[in-house]
Amino acid sequence: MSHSPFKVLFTLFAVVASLVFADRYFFDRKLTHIGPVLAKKPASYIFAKLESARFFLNGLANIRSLVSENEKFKKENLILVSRLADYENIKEESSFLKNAFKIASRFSNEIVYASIFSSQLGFDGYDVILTSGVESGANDNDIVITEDGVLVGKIKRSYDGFAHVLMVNDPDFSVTAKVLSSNTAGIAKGALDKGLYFDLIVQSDAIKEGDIVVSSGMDFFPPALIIGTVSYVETNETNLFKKVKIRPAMEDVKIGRVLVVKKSDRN
Amino acid sequence: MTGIKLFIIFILALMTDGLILPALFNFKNSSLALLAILLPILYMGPEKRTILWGLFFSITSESFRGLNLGTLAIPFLFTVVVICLAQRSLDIKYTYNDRFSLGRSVIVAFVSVAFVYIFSFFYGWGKVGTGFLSPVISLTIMLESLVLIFVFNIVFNNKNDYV
Repeated sequence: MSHSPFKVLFTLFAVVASLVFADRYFFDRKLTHIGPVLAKKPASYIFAKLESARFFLNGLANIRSLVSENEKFKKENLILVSRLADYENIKEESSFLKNAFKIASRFSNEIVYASIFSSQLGFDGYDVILTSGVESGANDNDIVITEDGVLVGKIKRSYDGFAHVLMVNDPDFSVTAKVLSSNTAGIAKGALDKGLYFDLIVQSDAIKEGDIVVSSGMDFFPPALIIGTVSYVETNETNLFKKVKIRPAMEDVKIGRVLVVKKSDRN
Repeated sequence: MTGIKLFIIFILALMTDGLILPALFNFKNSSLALLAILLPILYMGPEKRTILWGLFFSITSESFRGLNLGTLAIPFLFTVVVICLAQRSLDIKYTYNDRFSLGRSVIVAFVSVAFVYIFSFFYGWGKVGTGFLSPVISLTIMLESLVLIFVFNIVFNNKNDYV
């Protein structure tokens, strides 16, 4: 076996180590940030167009079920409209009480519009890049949602010109969650290709496949953000907790265009 | 010419991984870009040109993903050291006459799964993310390896492409 590859490797180790040193101490770790800044505009355009194409093709594939789905959605819409009226009422009361007791909102009304333009599987989760960074007002730990109120994730790290997003199905992601219209609550944790696991659901808690899971607001995430749908429930009397999987709601919506919800300065 | 072909394949793999598969097919568990970095080393052998190209692709991938310099490049170099040591006993690289050999393709695809995990071991500085250790991801890596090997078999149809 020729020793040539090892000589080459040794030289390359030295070169890369020098570049890493220079990048860290002279360029403030910004040498490789040129890529996302240059690519974000064309890439986000292509990403959005491809997502639209996917939804269009899915629509064509499901064209036969359109009529029955339409009837089902009309009924659901009526239920939601009546709930909306209750919600507006409760929101008004909550706002009045907060003003009366001078309680600051945990989340500001500031929203930053952004686009996701790359999503790749990495060794420690997904490398998802947002077009907005520190200069646009998107900061670390700001919440990323879609216009429909679906939770996409939070900003892992924000730089000049772009930001890394920690998606809901990333292993490092967790959020306190509850089942909609139920007292069942737990912690939803990302599990890559398996979606999310809904932990701390005891055997006596009522939960079934199809239940909608939303953020409970007991942590740094706003309440009532849609996380996903329960896709699997395993009950085992020998275990303290049930094994519950959640299918992320962001799989069924477009994530090309997102909103970044900024936290209040008091947090 | 080999380098240009490799570069085009790498760019296509990067765009497929990061843009086309997640946006058009809602498939986020692809590792094509990583395989486009590692597979030429396995396919053509750990030669100077393949190592240099692999390093260039690693740095390009870091740039596209917004990762810090060295995040992929250093684990790549460590992985190549392991490949060099493994080549002494495995001899898995292709020759011009071996192209389209199904048996060799399957073997290289299996080996590429192992080396992706070795890459992740060096990436995590001794730890492999438990989420990444998934049968679905392993199977995806293997199938994508087979696809890339097939592409290499067609594209590298010149004896000069092989050592």
